[in-house]
Amino acid sequence: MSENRSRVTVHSKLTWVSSKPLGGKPHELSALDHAMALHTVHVIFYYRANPFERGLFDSDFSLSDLLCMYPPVMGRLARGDGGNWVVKCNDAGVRTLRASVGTTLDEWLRSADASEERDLTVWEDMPGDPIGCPALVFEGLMGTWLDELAIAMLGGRMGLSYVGSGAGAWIGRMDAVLGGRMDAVLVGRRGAVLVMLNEFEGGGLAIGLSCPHMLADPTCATLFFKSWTETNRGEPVCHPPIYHLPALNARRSLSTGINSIKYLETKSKSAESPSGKMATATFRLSHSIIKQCLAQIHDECPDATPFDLLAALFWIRIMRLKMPRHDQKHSLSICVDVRKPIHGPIPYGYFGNALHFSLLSMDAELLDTAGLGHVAGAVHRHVADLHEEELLSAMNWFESRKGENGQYAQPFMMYGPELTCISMEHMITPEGSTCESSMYEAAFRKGEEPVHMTYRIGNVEGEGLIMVMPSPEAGLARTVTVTLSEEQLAELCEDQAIMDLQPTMLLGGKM
Amino acid sequence: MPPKLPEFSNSVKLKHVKLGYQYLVNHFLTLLLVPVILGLLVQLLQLGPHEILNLWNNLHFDLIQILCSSFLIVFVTALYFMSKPRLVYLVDYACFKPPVALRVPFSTFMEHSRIILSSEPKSVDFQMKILERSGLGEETSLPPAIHYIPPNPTMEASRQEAELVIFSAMDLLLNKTGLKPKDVDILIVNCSLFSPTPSLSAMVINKYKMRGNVKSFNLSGMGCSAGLISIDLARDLLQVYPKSNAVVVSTEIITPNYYQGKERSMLVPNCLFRMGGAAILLSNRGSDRRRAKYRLLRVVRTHKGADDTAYRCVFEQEDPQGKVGILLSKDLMAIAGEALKSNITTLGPLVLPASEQLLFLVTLIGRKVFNAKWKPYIPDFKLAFEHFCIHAGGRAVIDELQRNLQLSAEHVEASRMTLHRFGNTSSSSLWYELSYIEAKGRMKKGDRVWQIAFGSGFKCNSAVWKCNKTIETPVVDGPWFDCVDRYPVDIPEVVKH
Repeated sequence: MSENRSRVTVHSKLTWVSSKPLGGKPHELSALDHAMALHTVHVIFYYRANPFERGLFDSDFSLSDLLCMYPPVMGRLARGDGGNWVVKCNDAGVRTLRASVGTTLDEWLRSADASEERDLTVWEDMPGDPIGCPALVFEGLMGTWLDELAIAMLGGRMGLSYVGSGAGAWIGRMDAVLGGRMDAVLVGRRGAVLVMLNEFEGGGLAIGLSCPHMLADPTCATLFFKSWTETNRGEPVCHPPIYHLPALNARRSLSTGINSIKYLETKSKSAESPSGKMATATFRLSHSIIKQCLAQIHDECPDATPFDLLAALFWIRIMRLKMPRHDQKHSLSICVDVRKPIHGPIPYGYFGNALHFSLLSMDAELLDTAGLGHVAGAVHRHVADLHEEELLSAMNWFESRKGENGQYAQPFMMYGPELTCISMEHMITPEGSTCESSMYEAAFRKGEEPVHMTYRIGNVEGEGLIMVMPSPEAGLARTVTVTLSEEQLAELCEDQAIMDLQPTMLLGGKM
Repeated sequence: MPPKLPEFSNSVKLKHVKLGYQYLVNHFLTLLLVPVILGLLVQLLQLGPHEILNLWNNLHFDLIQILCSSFLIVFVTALYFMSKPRLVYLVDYACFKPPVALRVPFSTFMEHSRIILSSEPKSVDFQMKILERSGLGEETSLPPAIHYIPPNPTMEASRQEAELVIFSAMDLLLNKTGLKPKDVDILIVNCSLFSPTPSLSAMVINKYKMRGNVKSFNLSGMGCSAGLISIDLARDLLQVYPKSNAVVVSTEIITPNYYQGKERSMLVPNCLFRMGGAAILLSNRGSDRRRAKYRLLRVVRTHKGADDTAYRCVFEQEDPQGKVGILLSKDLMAIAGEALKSNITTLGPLVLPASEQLLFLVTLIGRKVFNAKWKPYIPDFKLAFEHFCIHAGGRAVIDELQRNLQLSAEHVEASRMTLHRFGNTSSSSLWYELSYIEAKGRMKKGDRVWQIAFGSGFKCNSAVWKCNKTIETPVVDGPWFDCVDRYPVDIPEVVKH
């Protein structure tokens, strides 16, 4: 619970609907979607000019037209027959909140920290909590303090979040007591996607999009947002959504990807590790610096991408900060999106989860002593070896964990407990493709590109999270967001190797 | 099978008898006069041309006699033409089409309801039941202020809704008819529940910069039948002012009247009332005769307010928590039936063909004089009208009227489909229904339309129009342009959710 008064005040809430009625069969979620059930995705785009200043109902209703293509976004999550999650395409709409921020955009980017940034989207840390409408969930069933909490949230202090896993366990017990009737109560009422428009003083707008990780991963949430901006500009949508991929459902023999499966098994059995207070910092690295560094490691790793370089660099520096344990292996969990822009069984427009988690381990000693180039090389080889088949065998493994009645097994933490590194390299426009895929092309009006964007993943536990994302500056420039425990992050921000890269610090809080 | 055949042949025989009787009575005069004229003609021809000329020459007429008789003829003709009521034409009309973002799907409405009325699950269930059985579809619209959770009905928002609806309809009308705002002679705006100062008619005059001597009227509080009351007022005014036109704007502004409490009997209007508006141009100018779509034949107004139950059956009041809402009493349907009977008793003799009136008269006399047990004869209004526009007040109203007037499904299709697509838009719903009939290509020259509306008070008003020229499809500037092909839809008894 944030003790400080938040600078964000929510002043209205409404529901945005598509221009045509959408019906249709429930949208089924895949095995991988079910596996991500404990997390949420939050994407925030910052703009210098506010395209919605005349008010939502006075603008072009581009969101209404766009939503016609996204029936699951308009729908609600519910347990279908057989107990698995489905999205009931009941046309209920996207809950949209409007808030105002008591400061200017530049001031915010300079001084806000991660916990304040959370206020720009709607957060529910509880696993499986119905996002955005707690009051209606409890429908007089529980009354008392939860209703008050709900009323307080609706009243505008959106900085609140439920107290960790305590309430989650309570809900779990209630569910058991009611004999699973809880879901019957909650059926059809879990919000899918929520949009929050935050207006800064002096112009400037931050649009926050949140959704359960079950429904969409960061890539397709970004593509949804991009399609919105394309519709607003009157251009055709670059990557229309594709909902069903027969390739994903096909059964294959578990011959490849043994490593990933072993890793997933270990993850599923690992106990929940309590994490201390985490903090986040954002480092923006320019094109020239990255180019320089890549040139430096060119001998050892000629094909290194900026991701390889930065993942290696931050891994080494973070490992140095922790208690050096020379007898053990250090692991880095690498999360890669398997969508391919041009060809492949999982196209760019696939709406759902297409993330693959794999483990890269190195001896502590080697990590300490070997150069940046060597580690970058290891990362590069690891990433290059990943194919769709690995993801498909991971899917198979999840499928195989189904119970007798076809219900998927309980989800576990996918991000963590090791240090996790997320790659967004697939969002950089490759040569030869016709569509711009970079998120920094998402301009509502020509010439008004976003100045910054943030990704947050809800419910991440463990050692920390590193995200390597594109920058507004094109080319090799990257923005790295690091989430670590507070002390480690403070040390990292003063680390010499990182400072040598002359990063621009954003959203570092009032340091 | 023996028992069935006689019934069948009986009904066929009966039908023929009925048709024969109708033809006989309706064309009685013709059937009487034709033989007489034929007889005379035959006589004349028998006389021969010479005889006729002789007859003519024998007629001596004085100059004075000729002058006097011609004066008399001219005088009588002039008197006749002057005392004839001026013909009122409906030149054209325009209906407001809400922007798509204001659409209210069922699930959104129910979710909002559950959030706002979270402490009253029974009321929420009740609203759900009403909505499922209401006959509304997924494309009805509510104004922007009502989309918020909780709804945000300020005066500012109400005015914005009024501006959106009325100005859109007026712009469309001015475009369609080529009317210049400075040429408007009479302006009548009716909106029952929102009555700001200055009035909505003043708002229209201000926006369109109308003349200083425009005759403006603002009718408020008169319920869903106010549209026809405005038409009646316009017609009366057009009798007084020669060579004039009148613009009538019918709408209902929902923003300030969304009930925010939890009394069940007051929650029903929330489920049914939706955004809508229409602007109509009437004229008594001879020059508009050619391009006018319809001619007004009759307006019949019936008021049951003298009866206390009727007066209180739709009543705006505060609920126990102090929230203002419209209370609908349980006798609403019965009272509506009574009002309808009153209205058609007055309307019947004016529009029904002679055959039906005779039958009705005979049965009436029979019931009074001979035997009270005779079944009252319900005149067949389908003989008087080709199209019916029943105010889309709710599914129950349409069902009741369909039953009472023995109308077929096609007759009430316009009403049902308007209820489905636009909801209950109060006084403007009749115009959406008329638009539907036109969009379907069913309106031909000479067709008669009966518009019937109920309103609080309790009132039942009817208007009868005659189509002046066949309306060509497709109708590109109507509210049904993009969806008429999807209609008619089958509206289930209870919508599944």
